[in-house]
This record gives sequence, structure tokens and C-alpha cells, in this order.
Amino acid sequence: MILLLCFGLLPAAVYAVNDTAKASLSSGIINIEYTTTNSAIVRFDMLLYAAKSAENMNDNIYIAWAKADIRGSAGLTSQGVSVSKTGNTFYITIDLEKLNHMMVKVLVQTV
Amino acid sequence: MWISILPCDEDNYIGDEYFTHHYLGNFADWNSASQGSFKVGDVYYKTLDEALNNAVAGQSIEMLDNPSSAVSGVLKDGVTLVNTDGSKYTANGGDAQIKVNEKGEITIINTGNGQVHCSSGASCTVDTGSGSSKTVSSNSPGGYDVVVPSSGSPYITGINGGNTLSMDNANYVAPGDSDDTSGKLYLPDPLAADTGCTEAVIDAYKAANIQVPGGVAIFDGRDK
Repeated sequence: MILLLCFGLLPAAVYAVNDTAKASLSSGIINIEYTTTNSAIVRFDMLLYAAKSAENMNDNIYIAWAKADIRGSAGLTSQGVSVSKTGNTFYITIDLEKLNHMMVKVLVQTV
Repeated sequence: MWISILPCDEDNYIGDEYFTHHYLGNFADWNSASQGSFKVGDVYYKTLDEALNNAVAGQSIEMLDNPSSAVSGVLKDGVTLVNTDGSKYTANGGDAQIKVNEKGEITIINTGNGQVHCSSGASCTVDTGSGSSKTVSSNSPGGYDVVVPSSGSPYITGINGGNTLSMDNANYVAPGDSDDTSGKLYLPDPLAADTGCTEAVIDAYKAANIQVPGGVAIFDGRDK
């Protein structure tokens, strides 16, 4: 029972593989940690969407991308994004105030 | 609001089984929130009219989107309008009547006793009377000032000497040294105006078709 309750409070992330992902928002910054053993993964695309559940993504907007170069050079990202990789974990930050997208800025203000 | 994370290889999404979706928090309704496209301080207004009416001296109106239809209003003295490309327009010395169209283009109708300061690179249309207008821009480091007096010709000033005012495919060079911003370039034609016309020159190699008093057209020799 406790296990079910805890599970119900967790963000509705879908983990179909052994990868793990976390995302949180604080002071206009989205912090993402993504751990994977799949060496083919080098880039991430991020979408924001407003919905009452994870299944409804009709109003999503593409906000950012991040690419961590597996050869060790600096990460390449879209505006307002940083990425780094330590071991098997990617660390991505998205500064919503620096994104070049007006709808995101409005959403941040109305929290 | 939710965020989806889509892992990819070099070129493509790596597979649906890797997609994750995360809840970030309870934001305002997406559609209603997106209507507040005119920001003054921490307040978002749904229309540019509201933003112009509520902004006070020292504040900026940040346009996060263009108005859905043209808006005519007063840019109060000391208020800065920042359009979607980051160009800034500040009323100095008095209220200015402006118009902002659905493309976000700024027309300065009247500056009363003051002027509108435009940031470097900013483009603006200046009402030259009788339904005519001229669109100008300048990369002068300090920007430039537009003056549309209640009588007499509108003019551009505040351009650092040696820098140019672009208009009608021509560049007009402001007179004086680089630290001199006192030159006045009169519209609609800096070279044909009664005052200041002898100080402005056309930048070399720029196409120009200049009408001088008497209706005589001067061409630059390349563009007949």
C-alpha cells in the first residue's frame, strides 16, 4: 500500500529501458539528469507542454536541444541550455528566461 | 507544465522507449497565459494598449509578440518600448504618439516637444506629414533620436558624426566628429532640406535617387 502511494506521487515518467531521468524546475531553471548505458545517445531534444497528464501533448512546443560530445569537447546546445556528462550521466540545465520563445517566458511568470 | 526528454543519437530520436515525460509544476492555462504578450516590470498585459496606458517613466514595455492589429497610442515621456527584435524606443522630453503595426514595426507620429530615442540598429518609420513617411535606421553606437515637431520638418539627430542614417537605399553620413551628435538630418530628404542639408553627405557607392528643390533628380551614376 505504501509503495503504491509513493509511486502515485512520483512524476509520471515513463521508463521503458534501464535509463533513469529526473527533471525539476526551480527559479526558472529546469535541471535534468539523464543516466544511460546506451553509448549511442549523444543528444537530447526537449519539449514543453501544458496538459493535465503526460498523455496529452497536443500543445507542446520545442524549446531546446543539448548535445554532449562523446569525444569530450564542450557540449553544443541551443540558446539558454548547458550540458555536461560525468560517467554515464548527462546533466542538462535549461534557463527558461534565456530561451528565445515568448510563450515560455509568459508561463514562467505565471507560476 | 510538463517536459518531455527525447534522447537521440547523432541524427535521430533513438526510440520511443527512451522518451520520458516529467511534471514540472502547476502553471497557468497555456492559452490564457500566452495572451499576455506585453510585459511591464513583472506585469503581463494582454494588449499593447494596456501596457502603454500603465507604463510609467523609467519602465520598459517588452513586446513578447506583435500586436494582433495595429495599435496607435502614446509612449509616455521616459517610457521605453522594446520590440520583439530587441530594438528600443524611448520617449524623451515629452510624450510621443506612436503606431505599432501587426509586424511590430514602429511609426513615430509626433514627438510633441520631445523626441524618441532609438537604439543602435533599430528601425523606425517617421511620419513626414501629408500621409507620407520614411523608414530609417542607424547603427550609430549611441543610437539616434527622432524629432517630429508640431510644425516644421521632422529630423534625425543624436547620430555620432561619421555614422550613417539609412533611408531609401542610401546612407546619409552625419556631420562632425565621432563624438559630435548634434548634427540634424532632415526628412524626407537630408540633402534637400533647407536646414542642415549642406552638412549631410551620401555614403560612397550607395544607390540613391535624391530629389532636390525644384524637382531635379540626382542619380549616383550607377543606378539610372
